[in-house]
Amino acid sequence: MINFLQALISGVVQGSVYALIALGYSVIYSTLKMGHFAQGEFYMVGAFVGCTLFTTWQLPVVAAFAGAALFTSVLMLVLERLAYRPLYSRPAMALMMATMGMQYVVQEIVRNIWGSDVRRSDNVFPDGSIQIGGIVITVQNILIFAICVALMLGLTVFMKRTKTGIAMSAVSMNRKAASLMGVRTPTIIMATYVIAACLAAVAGVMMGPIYSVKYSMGTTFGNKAMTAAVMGGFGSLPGAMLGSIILGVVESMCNLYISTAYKDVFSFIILVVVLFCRPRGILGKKSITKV
Amino acid sequence: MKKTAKSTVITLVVLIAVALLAPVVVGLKNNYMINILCSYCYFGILCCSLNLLLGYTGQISMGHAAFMMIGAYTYGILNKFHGVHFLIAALAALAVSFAAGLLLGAACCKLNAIFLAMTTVGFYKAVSTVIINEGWLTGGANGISAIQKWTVFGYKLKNWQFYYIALAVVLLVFLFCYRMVNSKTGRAMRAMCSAPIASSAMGVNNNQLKFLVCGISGALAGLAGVLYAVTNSYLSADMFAKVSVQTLTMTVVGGMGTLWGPLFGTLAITTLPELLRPFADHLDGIYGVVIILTVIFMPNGIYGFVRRMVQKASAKAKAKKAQPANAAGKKGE
Amino acid sequence: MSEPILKVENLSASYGSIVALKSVSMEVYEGEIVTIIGANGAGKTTLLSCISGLMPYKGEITFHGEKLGGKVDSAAIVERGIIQVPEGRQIFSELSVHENLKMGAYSRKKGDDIQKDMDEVYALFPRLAERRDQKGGSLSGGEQQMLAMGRAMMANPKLLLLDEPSMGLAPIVVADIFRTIRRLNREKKVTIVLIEQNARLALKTANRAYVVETGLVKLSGDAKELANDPKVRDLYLGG
Repeated sequence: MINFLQALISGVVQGSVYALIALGYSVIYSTLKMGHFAQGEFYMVGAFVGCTLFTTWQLPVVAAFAGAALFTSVLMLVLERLAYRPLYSRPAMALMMATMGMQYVVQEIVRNIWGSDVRRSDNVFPDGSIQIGGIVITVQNILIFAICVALMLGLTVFMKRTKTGIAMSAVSMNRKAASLMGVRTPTIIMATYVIAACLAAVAGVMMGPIYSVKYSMGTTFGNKAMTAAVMGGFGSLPGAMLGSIILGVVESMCNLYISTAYKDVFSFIILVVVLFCRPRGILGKKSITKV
Repeated sequence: MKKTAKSTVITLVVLIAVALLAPVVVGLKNNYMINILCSYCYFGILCCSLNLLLGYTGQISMGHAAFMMIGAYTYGILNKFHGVHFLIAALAALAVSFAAGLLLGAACCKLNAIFLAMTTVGFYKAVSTVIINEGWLTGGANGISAIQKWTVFGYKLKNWQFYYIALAVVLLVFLFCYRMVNSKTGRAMRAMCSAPIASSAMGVNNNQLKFLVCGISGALAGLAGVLYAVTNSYLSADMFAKVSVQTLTMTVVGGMGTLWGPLFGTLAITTLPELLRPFADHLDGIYGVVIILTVIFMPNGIYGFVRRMVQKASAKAKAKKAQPANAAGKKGE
Repeated sequence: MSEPILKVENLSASYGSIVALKSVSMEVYEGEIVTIIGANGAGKTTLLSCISGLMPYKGEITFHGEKLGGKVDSAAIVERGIIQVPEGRQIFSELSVHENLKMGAYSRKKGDDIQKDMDEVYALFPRLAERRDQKGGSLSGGEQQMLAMGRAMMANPKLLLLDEPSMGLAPIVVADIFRTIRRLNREKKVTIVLIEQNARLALKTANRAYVVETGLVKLSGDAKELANDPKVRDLYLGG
């Protein structure tokens, strides 16, 4: 029982980090109707910047987070302007290919700035743990979870209460009507990417110390987060969060009861089962195609 | 119309001639180059396979390497581990990858776009994981090594001889695709791609068609896998890591939904690493930039680009012809 | 008559190689309802798209004496007070009625009294007030049209562009919609450009009319006169 609860907790924490990347995927898809395959790479960028700021330059933690968010946002906006902007009016396949190519480009950029070696990053969180009836919960777990939840709540509030957030929702529902109400599409695009970049960067800074910082860390993590977003309902923000927590727990349970090696197979099976029952993801919306 | 057919035939003849002479040019003993020539063949087949699925029928498969792996490993396991004759092993590989394709077909019937895409990615990862972990079946992390070359009537084929077999297979596959695309089925595929509801109303059984195309696509990819296994004599799961993206790139860069597309795409993308030897360190980054630039500046792929150039050139030629012939220095046509 | 508030001169626009508008010129004066009728594909929606800054065009569009410029900048057009109610309603289906109306006020400046306008819209469309918190997508066609118009009114329009308000609606609902259009014009003094396929109703409601066919203005003039014009009756009014 204790093992189960332990695994559940670590699964939820892991899931909440997946959620930060998954939200990035979903928010970009929701507003811009594109699958941003390179999202995971910006998580990796965040990890590298965080490592440099926190470990190499010994700056305070907050500076590491802020710096990573800033750098990642700027990078994403520049790359978006160069590679994605020309493709918005083209067929979806083109944009998808561009984001896949972007994965390699970002990795290359990181390799040129930081080199190909793996970096060890100091833990951004203090050590320590608490015990509740035989279950060990580390301070790290608590803080990671807290930060993720705070960001998720923050994003939800942003999307529902601020002018830009509501405009993003409007654009995702009906771009033409939103334009006719005076919504400036370039602003919305920028806001969308900045949000996705910041979330990914924060996740990167948090996870860097745990997974070691290397240029390949974004691909696997990104894939998982995207799977989670798809499972929860691509384009739905609550869906991204739900899918991520589920994925985290599924992986954790698989580690415990089946085998560590097979967790990808297990996740795949869960994904297939979910999608066959709900082809648009758990919270995905059905869109009615007019003939 | 006649002119187009003539130029197509000429191009084909030239290409086939080049392909036939290639081993002689690079040197029959130059195994390295011969292997590269073989890689044009099996990647070409792989690209055709994905092109049928993605370019003509509009189904996204982002883990297409899975089918190649399945084909390669089925062949490797049967031929190397169980001593099955290579022809039977190859046929078995085709059958198994066809069946795997049918699985994809089931997914295509239910899911679309990003949901399908992520399912195919997951499928690749699952297949890959199973291959790595089930050592008793697949040789696990060590892979399958020392796969035999083919022997015909007791004579063991040399690499360059196998190349000609691979070349023959590619040509057959191209021919098959050509026939399929221009048939009733091909038209149904394209109809379903652009307007599935309308095609269904016209009597196309969308689901059946999806199963069919997915199965064929899987089988062709498996065939590519068999050729891959024999050419390289060695198989391991991580060899296929980049293949899915490469195949997608070849298909898109070459020109989706066209018969020439896979040819151009394969030639371009497979040659690229060789051309960029000096930049081997930065190969991935260059690769990514190539994808992005192609997609932005050549939206219909290399084939579309070439076609536009040819059209522009022939339009210019026509304009010149239409000009009134000047007495001074213009030769009559 | 005074200067027109909207002047369109030699407007031409295409979608790639397909020419939608060849050369269209028209004028709209303050306080009137101008209708543009014509068959499908004549270019009417394209005309509105150009005015609203959704697509590039050649020619000149002047609003209150200022050139609008051929740039694609819909937000700038909205800021000038030209608001379009697009074809097919295009409401935000996941937002509530109230939130849809609030979106209408997106372009308004901070100090504006939005609440007052909100109350006025609810007074104008009592059915919307009843369904305040209902999701836009769950409303009936007629209610969605009212919501779309109410949303446009929230933007405090100086010029209202209506694209086929009657499309897909039952006759009794259409009558309601057109009554509302006349009310908006009479009571709120909104200048209206009305695109319609229902020529009979459009000519009954409008002051002046333009008949557009294949990207050109074929006829123009007083709405009642055009309604009695034998050519118009033949082509658009069923003889």
